Amino acid sequence: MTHTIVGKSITRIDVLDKILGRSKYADDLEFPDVLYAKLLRSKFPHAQIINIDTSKAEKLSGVKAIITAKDVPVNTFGIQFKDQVILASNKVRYLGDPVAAVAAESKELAEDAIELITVKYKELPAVFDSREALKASAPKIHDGGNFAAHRKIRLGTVKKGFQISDEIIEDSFTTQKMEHSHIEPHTGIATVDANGKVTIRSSLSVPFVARAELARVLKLPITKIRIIQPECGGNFGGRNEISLEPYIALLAMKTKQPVKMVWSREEEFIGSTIRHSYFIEYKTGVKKDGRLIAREVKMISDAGAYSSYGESALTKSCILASGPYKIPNVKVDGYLAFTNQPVGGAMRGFGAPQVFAAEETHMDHIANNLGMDTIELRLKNALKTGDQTVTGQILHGVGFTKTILKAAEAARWDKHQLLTEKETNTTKRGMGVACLIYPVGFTEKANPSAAFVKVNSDGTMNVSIGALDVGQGSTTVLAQIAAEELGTSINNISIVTGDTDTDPYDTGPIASRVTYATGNAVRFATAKAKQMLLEVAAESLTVNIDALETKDGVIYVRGAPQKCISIAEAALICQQKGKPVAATASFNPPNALLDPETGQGKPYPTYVFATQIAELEVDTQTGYVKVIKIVAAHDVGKAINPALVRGQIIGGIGFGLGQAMLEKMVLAQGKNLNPNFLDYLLPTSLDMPDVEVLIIEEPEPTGPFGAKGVAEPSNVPTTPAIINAIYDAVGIKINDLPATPEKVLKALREKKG
Amino acid sequence: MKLKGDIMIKQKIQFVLNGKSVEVAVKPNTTLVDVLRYQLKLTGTKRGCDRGNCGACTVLLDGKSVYSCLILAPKVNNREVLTIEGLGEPGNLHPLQEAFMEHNAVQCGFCTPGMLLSAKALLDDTPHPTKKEVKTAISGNLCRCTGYIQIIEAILDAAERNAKKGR
Ligand code: FES
Ligand code: FES
Repeated sequence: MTHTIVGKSITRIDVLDKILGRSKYADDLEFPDVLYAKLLRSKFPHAQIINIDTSKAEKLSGVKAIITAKDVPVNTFGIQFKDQVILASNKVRYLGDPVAAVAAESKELAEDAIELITVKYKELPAVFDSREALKASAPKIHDGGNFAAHRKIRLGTVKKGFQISDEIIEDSFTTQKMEHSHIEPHTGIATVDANGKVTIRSSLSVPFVARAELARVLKLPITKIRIIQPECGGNFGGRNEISLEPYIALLAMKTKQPVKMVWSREEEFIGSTIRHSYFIEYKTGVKKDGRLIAREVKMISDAGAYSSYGESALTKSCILASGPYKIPNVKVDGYLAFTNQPVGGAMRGFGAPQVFAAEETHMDHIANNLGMDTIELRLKNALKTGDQTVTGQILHGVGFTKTILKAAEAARWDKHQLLTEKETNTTKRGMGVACLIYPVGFTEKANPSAAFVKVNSDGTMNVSIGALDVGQGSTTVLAQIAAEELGTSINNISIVTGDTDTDPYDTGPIASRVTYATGNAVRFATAKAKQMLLEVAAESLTVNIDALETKDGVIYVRGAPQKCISIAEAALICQQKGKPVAATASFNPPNALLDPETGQGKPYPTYVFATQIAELEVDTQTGYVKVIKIVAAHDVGKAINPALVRGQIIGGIGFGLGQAMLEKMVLAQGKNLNPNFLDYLLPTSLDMPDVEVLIIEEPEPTGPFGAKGVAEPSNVPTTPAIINAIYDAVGIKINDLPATPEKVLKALREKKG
Repeated sequence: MKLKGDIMIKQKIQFVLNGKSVEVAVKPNTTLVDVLRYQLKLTGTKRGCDRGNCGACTVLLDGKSVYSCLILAPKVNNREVLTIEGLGEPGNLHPLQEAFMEHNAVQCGFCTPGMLLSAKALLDDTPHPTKKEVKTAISGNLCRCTGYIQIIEAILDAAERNAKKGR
């Protein structure tokens, strides 16, 4: 089927305001008499609160309100379990825990007021290592202890599998804590109208989930809370649950004035959610010919002080621990432990970057042990259409092998031994590969999207959706889907979003689901509207409805394009007949709960696949690694907008490179030692290698025009591809991220002996 | 304890902003980014860190790119400032803006104003930069979304367009 708009690299429809500096992000909005809010956070990683004294701060002129735990109607929240407090009352569990919030006439005054609040604490013993936290002797962070979750996958019998294996290879791997580092910090403004309705303007990625959570916390009906989303300066999972919203809402309710809060960069590191750090152990049994027979994986994820998305991220980690390979016997155990550290939340890849860093470097170890080419090992075990995943789900539309072959060809893998020609006495070259299987949508749980469309009498169409574009370009992609389905130009589509009072429900731009889930909702709603138009067109052209097609805003008879009527005319007729063209549709990615004991079931609707190959150079004198090129082959189902897909993949590679070589939150006794972009290193333009993106399209039957998703998967294979390439270059195995020059140099020295 | 809220003395400064002379009374500890955003209501200049570590607040001061969060407002007295609002307008975009549009160099857009100004400073100084020079010129502007490559491609393309137009 040929498409006119889908598959084209149409310029993003929101770009003009952005390049002119006219897009309004939360802090760009202006409100008269706005107050500035600031949080007082805990002084200790683990302590009892004896007393909070706000009296001095209250006396400071210009301070309008101070709130503590007693001012919060329902003082609990949490995306999965309500184990987190809005304002701590008797106990703090990490340094980011807010204890009080202030609203004052200026930022400076709010900061002053915070310093005037005195809190008396009784320090408690704390625990900062997830393995220690699970021991019986560890200080208890929550009443129920530090054990937050255990997820399992059971397939076949690993014991037997290991017995019949020719070789057993074991590895352990450690991953770091990372911060989302969207360049726009968390920012929000709350206003309250005369009827007590609270309006919040902040860049939440889950406005509907947040609205329900806020209604609960504030003890208000959902209709009394409205979330308006300004332009969003990046998400990456960092805005997937409420953060500053309850404080500004409570302070605005108390002062009857608009209240704004902007988190400092330091607060982003200390008080926002982060990427969970993992300890992972791999053991794989393999036949001499490379067939994977059995695998046992154990992992411990550090939840930090509260559970947040920890359990569902861990579930994804467990499901993906066998990689994109067919392994008949698998046993995976994942544990989630509380520690007195920043809270792990959702972050691009959601449990996958950690396991794939371990899994894909482990695969290279297996290949090297067998004396086998690392790509050959992967090809031999690759999942194919019709195969079952580790949870027993039968796969369709698997473009995995294609991604391996295309990437290998583009990277000239067969010539990879020739890289030595480019080496010097002190620089060594290497190439490494890593692969990926990644699901689209939520793990196990419902994550619906809805859309509402109306076709106007001039042939244009409004499309209301509830999924904000957080930078990835989803608004453009959804407009393309709508235009293609209706059969009109993209200029005739207007996407309306960003207001919970008027938007239809959406789970949000998370879990790489918008193109697939919201895209389907938009497509189905548009198809219904189109049906209304076709009915009147069939009548006025006196043909059967099946004979009609739409293109470029015109409904015409197939094979006789001169017999036609414009969409505008048809819409006007509908209107005059008393049936204005409007339709709604919803879509929920088909998935189901896993069996808790075996992990068997269908946790996701579909999966994407990818292969990346990194080429790099290691300076053996300094340990500095220069990534030269990355070839990235991604099966996305169908690229609705190839330029945007390329943008997602390159952006993801930047993310993965940061995880591989640069980024790590350094904590000592729960305190963040590098809470800024000077000491926490994000990739810059100088760190980026050349990137060759290869888009593989293996259409997904349940996706809009065959599309799946691409946002998260792109960063995951980058990290292990780089680690594998370092091994290829200099023969050292980094099993603790990130591979900093110090670590590389140390390993080189140890290897030399 | 020393409180911060009590600095009240303001001084008048005058400077050329996007081609027009402006006069504004500022506190001595106010930074340029605050004056631009909150006093002059030009919110195109962004703030990502307030510490000189991200580049979101980049503006041109006498043609050189600077972090406006690190410049105390009195310092710009009698000088010239260019912000994103002065770079181009609909129908009359700067070649860099056109190239950013066409090369998908923009995702969330939060780094974009600063990126464009760093790129302008480069092209004004070095009309035919190498890729390495482009990378270096924007290395002080963090972008978490794009992975930079489409931005680099856009800047190189804009340089080429400029050459053709003889700018
Ligand atoms: S806000 Fe000025 S450099 Fe980050
Ligand atoms: S486009 Fe989002 S930070 Fe650059």
